[in-house]
Amino acid sequence: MKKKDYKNLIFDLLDGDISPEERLLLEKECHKNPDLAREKESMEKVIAFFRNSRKFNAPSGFTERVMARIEKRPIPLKQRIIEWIRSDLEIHINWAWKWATVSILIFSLLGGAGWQYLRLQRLHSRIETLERRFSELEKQPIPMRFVFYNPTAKSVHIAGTFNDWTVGREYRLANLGRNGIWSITLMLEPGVYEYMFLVDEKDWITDPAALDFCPDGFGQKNSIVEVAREI
Amino acid sequence: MAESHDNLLVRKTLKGDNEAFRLIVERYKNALFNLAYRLTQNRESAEDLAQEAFVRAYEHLERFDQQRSLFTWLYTICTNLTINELKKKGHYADRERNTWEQKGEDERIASDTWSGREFPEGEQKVDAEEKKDLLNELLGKIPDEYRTAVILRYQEELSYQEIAEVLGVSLSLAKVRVHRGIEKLRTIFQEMENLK
Repeated sequence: MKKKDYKNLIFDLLDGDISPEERLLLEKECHKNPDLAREKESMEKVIAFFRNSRKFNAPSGFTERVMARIEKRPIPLKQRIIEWIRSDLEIHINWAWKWATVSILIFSLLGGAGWQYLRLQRLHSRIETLERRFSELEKQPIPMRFVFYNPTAKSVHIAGTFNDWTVGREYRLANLGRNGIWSITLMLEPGVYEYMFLVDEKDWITDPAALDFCPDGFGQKNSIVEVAREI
Repeated sequence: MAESHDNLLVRKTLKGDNEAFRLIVERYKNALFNLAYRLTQNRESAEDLAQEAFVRAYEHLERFDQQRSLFTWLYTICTNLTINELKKKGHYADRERNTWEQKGEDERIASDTWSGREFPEGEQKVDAEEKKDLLNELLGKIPDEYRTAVILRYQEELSYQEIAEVLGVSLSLAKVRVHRGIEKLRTIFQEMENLK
């Protein structure tokens, strides 16, 4: 065993952490080696100094002086809150406070949810009203002007799906300028209609100015008009 | 049991009960004062440092990990404060130079005690009993890191694990510091014996 190892054994001895075998080994070596024995002895004396030395007590009034320094400092609110949350409810009243807080939170949440529900209901009802009004507005008739040119015609009528192809006075076009330009303005609900002009109450004429056409089932074409509200 | 009682006192203090903190001070004031005194070898400094350690502990109590031991934490604060204070005053550098063999026996007797030599005049309020304290004299001759370690081990009787926690070092380094400290003290002690 090396000298260093014997020194470690001395430390183990001082720490009370030495086995009987190691102690015997160390004692034998000390017996053989006076320097090591002296080292061990002086180390034991040093440790004895520690163990036998007095412990110094804090001077009187120490605690009061410490407390005088700390009592001036208020506990920060944040610290109080954190500690309160962490606390393991040692005092009964803490339960009451905590339940009260939890109850307030639950009621607040429920109240908030109820209020939100009512608000959504009101919003929904307003949307429905607006939709109804919009739908009604969509069905409002729109003035639609039809113009037809025929300088030789004595009378011109308009008939179509908007009046079930009936011919009447209210559907007679006017030739105000006596220049062959016939016109009429009808109040039609928005939609797509087929129509034709009836010239001199005998000839069905397709409006050449129509935007679109479709077969009328009699070998001719009906004119098509789309009535829409401009947004 | 003491641990859980300490934690109870800590929790009460955190809730604003300063009386609980008073009990903590009462319980550990002598240990902290003794530690600071052994390190500084001056009563006034030791009291200031021990007081400051308690004040700092109070101010930062919310940072204390209640899984750990309160007294180890207080020792850590006190040790760090004391070492910083001594470093500021440059005491350790002086002590390193003022080894026993450099002074010689005559000078040692003439200068009365180690304590009297090292500290500024205002701090020389050391009573006769303390002057005779050979342990202080020996401790004054070893570097701070070893001195702190041996005081914690053999005067405060902390375990190596606790010393490691207080000093913020590994267990093996704590052991090394204690052993080297004792080895240095032994050398100085043997030299003193030879001079007699």
